[in-house]
Amino acid sequence: MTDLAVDRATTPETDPSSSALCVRGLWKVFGPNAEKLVGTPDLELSRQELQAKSGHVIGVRDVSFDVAPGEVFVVMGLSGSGKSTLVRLITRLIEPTAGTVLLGGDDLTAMGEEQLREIRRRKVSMVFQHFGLLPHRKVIDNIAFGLEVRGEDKGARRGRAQEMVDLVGLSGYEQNYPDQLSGGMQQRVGLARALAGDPAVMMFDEPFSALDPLIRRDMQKEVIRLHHEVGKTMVFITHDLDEALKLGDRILIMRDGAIVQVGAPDEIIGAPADEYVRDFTAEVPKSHVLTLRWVMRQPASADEGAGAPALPDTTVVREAARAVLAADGPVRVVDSSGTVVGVVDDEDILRVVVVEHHDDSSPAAGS
Amino acid sequence: MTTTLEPARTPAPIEEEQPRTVLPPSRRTGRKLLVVLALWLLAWATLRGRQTLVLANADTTGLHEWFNDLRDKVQVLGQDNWFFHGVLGTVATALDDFVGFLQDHLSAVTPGDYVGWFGVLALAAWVTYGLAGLRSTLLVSAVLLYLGVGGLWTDGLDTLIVTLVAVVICIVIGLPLGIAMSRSRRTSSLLTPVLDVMQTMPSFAYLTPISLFFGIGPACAIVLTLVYALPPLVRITEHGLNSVGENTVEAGRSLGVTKGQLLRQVQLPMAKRTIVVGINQCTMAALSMATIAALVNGPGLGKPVVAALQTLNVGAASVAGLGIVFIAIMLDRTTTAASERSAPGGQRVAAVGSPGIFGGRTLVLEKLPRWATEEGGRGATAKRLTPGGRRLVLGALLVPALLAAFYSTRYLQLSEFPDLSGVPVIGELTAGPLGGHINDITDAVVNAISG
Repeated sequence: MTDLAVDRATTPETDPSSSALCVRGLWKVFGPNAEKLVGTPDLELSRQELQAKSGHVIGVRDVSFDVAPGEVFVVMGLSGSGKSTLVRLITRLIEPTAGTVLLGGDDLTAMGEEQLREIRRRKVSMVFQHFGLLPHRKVIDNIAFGLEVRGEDKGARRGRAQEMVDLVGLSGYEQNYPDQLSGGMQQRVGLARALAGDPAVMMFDEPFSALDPLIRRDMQKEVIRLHHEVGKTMVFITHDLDEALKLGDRILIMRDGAIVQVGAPDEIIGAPADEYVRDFTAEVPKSHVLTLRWVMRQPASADEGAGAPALPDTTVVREAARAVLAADGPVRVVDSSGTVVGVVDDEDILRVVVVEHHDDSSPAAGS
Repeated sequence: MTTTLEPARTPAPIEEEQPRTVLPPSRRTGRKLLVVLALWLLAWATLRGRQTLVLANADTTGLHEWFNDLRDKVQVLGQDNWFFHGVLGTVATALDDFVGFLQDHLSAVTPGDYVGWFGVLALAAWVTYGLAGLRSTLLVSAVLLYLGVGGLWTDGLDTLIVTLVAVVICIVIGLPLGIAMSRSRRTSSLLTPVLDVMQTMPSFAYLTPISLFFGIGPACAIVLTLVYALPPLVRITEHGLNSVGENTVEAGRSLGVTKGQLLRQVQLPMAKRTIVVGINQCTMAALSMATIAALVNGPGLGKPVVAALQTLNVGAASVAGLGIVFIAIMLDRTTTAASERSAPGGQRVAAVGSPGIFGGRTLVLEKLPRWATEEGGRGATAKRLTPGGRRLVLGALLVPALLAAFYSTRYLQLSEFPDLSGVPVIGELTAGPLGGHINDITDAVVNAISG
């Protein structure tokens, strides 16, 4: 099992040209003349040791990953883990110390100022935690700002901005100023502004951390909806595990600037790479995330569970529970091609569900 | 498999890694102090007893003489040197001529083709109404009438002219400087000490050199004012641009703005309120130089103040001084109201920029009565005309204003402010009686104290 997770974590799709975003060996070291440190043994030191030695601070340490087109890729970590720095390195809002970033095959790290500006105007956009709206402009002009910057004429950008207003559900507020809107609505403006330029990749830097929980849930749904509608590749930064599990096709967990684990949500929960990730994920209701693949066992005999209906191995445990418990014996688990890959019985299911109840002090938590 | 699903221990609180800032290199304070002490001792050992004695009344040291020599050389060179004569001379002549032109047309009381007091009052009221609103118009009219009644019309308008010309030059020089300083740390560290010198050097110390370069008169007065009034504008502009929220600047950069777009569409609009405060401070500083400018024959209200000082006439000095104060209040409220009016959405200006920017402004201005700024402390704006309606009203009002200006060139009563000292009540406000009253009060207080 663990093999699978490691497999996915260390060898992302190796063909950079087919991925929407390809990051290789990205470093950020804060401090004077940091680029001279690259390749020296000093960078092997831990954050604390290096800071004590030379005053340099490692922001991001040798990060590589790929994001497939249309994927929602979540970068997760606690504050100070380097995730916000990482997302800024990708578009060079902060200059990387070393490493390469390929966006749809274009090497961003080798670009001059002019080319980079063109990429930012057309290929990649960003949504910020604190919105970053222009207070002296109306909602519609804020949304059109990116289009104005790249020189589109007023009629065209107003039309496009109006489409975005409708898309994010701000109709009727076009003529308001940002400070007349609530936080959630301001972030919708930020979202619309990022969408307006029709970028290939959208970056989200903890976009909902400043919002209250109810609004946050709404906005998460909104992002899922938009992802279905416009199908953008998304890189989403968060410190909230629930948010990561809800949105992410894959999740990258960072600590102290380095990658701890990359994997699909069920891999992160089912096979945490180390104690850190295990602690992190301890309170997640496992039956909501784990699929049958993680709880099945090899059939004792070839015809075990033959009488019961088969379930796909991607079914989440919680959804499979009723069917399995209702069956008299073990239930077969099949993969996408229909081949039987294992069986589950009541005990396998209950182990996941009941352990949670036992684990959490409050009876309401868990399922 | 099962290992991953074992009942986990109670989740330990995960220690948050806080981002650490780069440690400043050790300061080596001790060693620096030692170096300073050593230099100090060295200077004492070599310079001991040289030019340190108390000077007699007319004695000079080498340094004094060196400066005086320099003065003499400049005076000689001033005749035909390309820089002193060519550049500075041209600047001085141009400024003198320009101020003279404005004086002739606005403040002088020669009837003829020139606009008289009534016309000036009408035009000023019209411009203020267009830029700032009704309250400001009333304030401007009241201040101008006070100047007229007090017999300070010419001097008061001269002060206004010199101040406004100086402030416009300050803006032309100061805004680009402030922008340059906010963009480059090096420029900022180079210019900051220069601004320090400009702001703290006593004006009497540079009065003479500047009058040597520019000759006495309006040009010299304007340059004097520039030296003192420019630094606050530059500093506040720099501060305003630097305090534009990092989030917004970053968002702009993520959309691919050029430096020019960032400045024009993000930084300047967001720093506008702060920059207006800078212009206000610049105006106040310029007015505070009015008296000193009078020492180099600068036109304006400084002249009666200086003259009154020489005769110890407290009353006359106060009447003219009040004129300066009223002009200051008038300019401050009017420019503030004008900037608030041009802000988007009228009443929402308070929300632009971060609250921190307004710290200085609150301190300086909030305590003064804010009646004349259009909000008038009521928090909300009074009902306003639509932009189209306003334009119509303004256009209609231009006719009487122009008529007033025209008639003030034809009739002496409208050209020269009438002497109202004989009129009851209002007469008490004219310079003579008002000054007399102030003198009486002063005398009474002095007598009471000295018993």
